[in-house]
Amino acid sequence: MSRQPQEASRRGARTQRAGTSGRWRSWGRHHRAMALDSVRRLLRYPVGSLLTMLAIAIALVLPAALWLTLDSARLLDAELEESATLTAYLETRVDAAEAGRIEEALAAEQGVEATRLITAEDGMAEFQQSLGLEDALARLPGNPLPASVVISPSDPAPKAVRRLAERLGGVSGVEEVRLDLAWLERLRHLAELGQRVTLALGVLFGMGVLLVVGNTIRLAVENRRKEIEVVTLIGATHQFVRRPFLYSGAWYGLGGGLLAWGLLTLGGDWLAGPVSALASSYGASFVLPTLGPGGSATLLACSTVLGWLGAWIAVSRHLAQIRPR
Amino acid sequence: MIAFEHVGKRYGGRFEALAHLNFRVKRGEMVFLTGHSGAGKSSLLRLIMRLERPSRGRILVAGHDIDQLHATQVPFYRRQIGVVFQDHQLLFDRSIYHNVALPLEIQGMEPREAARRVRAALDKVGLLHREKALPVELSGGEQQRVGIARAVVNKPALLLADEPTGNLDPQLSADIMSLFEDFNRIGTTVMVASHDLALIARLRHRTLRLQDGRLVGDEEGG
Repeated sequence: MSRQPQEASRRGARTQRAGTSGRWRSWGRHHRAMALDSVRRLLRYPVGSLLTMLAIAIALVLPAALWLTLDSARLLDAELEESATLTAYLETRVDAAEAGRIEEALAAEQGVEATRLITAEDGMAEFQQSLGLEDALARLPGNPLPASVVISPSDPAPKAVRRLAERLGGVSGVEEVRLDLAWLERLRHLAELGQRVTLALGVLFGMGVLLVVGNTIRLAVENRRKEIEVVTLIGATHQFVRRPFLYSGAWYGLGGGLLAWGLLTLGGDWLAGPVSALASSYGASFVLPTLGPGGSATLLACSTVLGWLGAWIAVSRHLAQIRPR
Repeated sequence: MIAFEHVGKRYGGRFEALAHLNFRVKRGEMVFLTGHSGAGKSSLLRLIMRLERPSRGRILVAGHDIDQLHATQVPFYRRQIGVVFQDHQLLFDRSIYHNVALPLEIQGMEPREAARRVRAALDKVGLLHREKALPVELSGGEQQRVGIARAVVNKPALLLADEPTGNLDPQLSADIMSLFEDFNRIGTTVMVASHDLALIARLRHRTLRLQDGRLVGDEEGG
């Protein structure tokens, strides 16, 4: 008995020497083996595995599609911001020559990128054209419209534009500077709302993925209960027992992510025709955004991690209940 | 190798499965554990495997109080003990070879070294020619020998067996027991729970007798 501690420590030393590199190798070997083994198990029940992946894919498609839509709205937003302009209405007494001078004065102001003069006559002509009220307007005694100058600001940010408007309002001969930012801001609020809805849906559907994977893995654990009991009896660690299930979960997630990617691509192609027709009827060149390499990688990474996490939760919850008899 | 000090085990606060157990098993000893079913043999083995923890007292294995082991250390402790179960606990979805290789796989042994050890263990129990067979293709006695090969494949210092001959006829039982004696001869400490009194009497090893959870006899063999 007195020899035991010494012997135990000697054995400890030997294990140590067998060593770090050996342990890493065997760890890597088991990972490889389990990764392959879990693929084999998935392939053994192809229909069932595919259905699970499809459920994951469907849960992922909705938030991903919303996200893409928002992304395109953001692109649109940027385009609109670029087209944000101010209109300076000149006093009605100002004649054409003076209007030209005022335009030059405005163009010289700091923060003004470009200007375009719309004389009272131009304004009238445009008005008539766009409203189709030629007869009614022709009967007016004079031209009630003022000349105006359309100003493109060099900084399109709403705050800067508002400050510019205030300053330009003080230029002599300018009656009023109008900026229609309200709708831009409304759009931005809508976009923010959309973002939050997408985030909330993303979280909900992500939990859906966790549940789908969790349930599938729970059944797999139940099916392999005997095996788990036996390996636990002969000294398997929790990590060892968990590993094949974690790989299964990750594969389910990856498969679901790939399917979701396919569905999104198909859906994008399917919608591309009508969208471009619609856009061209508005004279715009709007195209549906696609995922792109970064987006695809994000989608696949998220789905794989979700699958892994779902499996982890399911196995951990379940392992606590499995005790060898 | 094993020391029980005032060990008691209660289940559910009332039923006393084991009480006041005091004994030591020396390194390299072979010990039988007998008693009627329900006398506490399996509970005692489960305590040594740390599938259960004693309600009172201490159990020392190789000098360590196994109740002090942290949950994460328990798997590593179990790897040092070979266990043979009455119902074999084989996995029916894999070959004999892979059943025996399981403990080595869990330890992460390099495959070539593992293959060598598995074949050696199978050879020892006389089943090397069946390594590719599935457990269902084997008889009860052969399955039990596979269970023994798996228990000894990583050369444990301590070998436990719970009714290893429970469902076997006398001749097969004697074969199994002589296997245990072989392992004991090369230095393994062996503890076999069995109620086959006739067989035990013939083998002449130390025998611990349990009755209603108490140790009522400790007879040296020979």
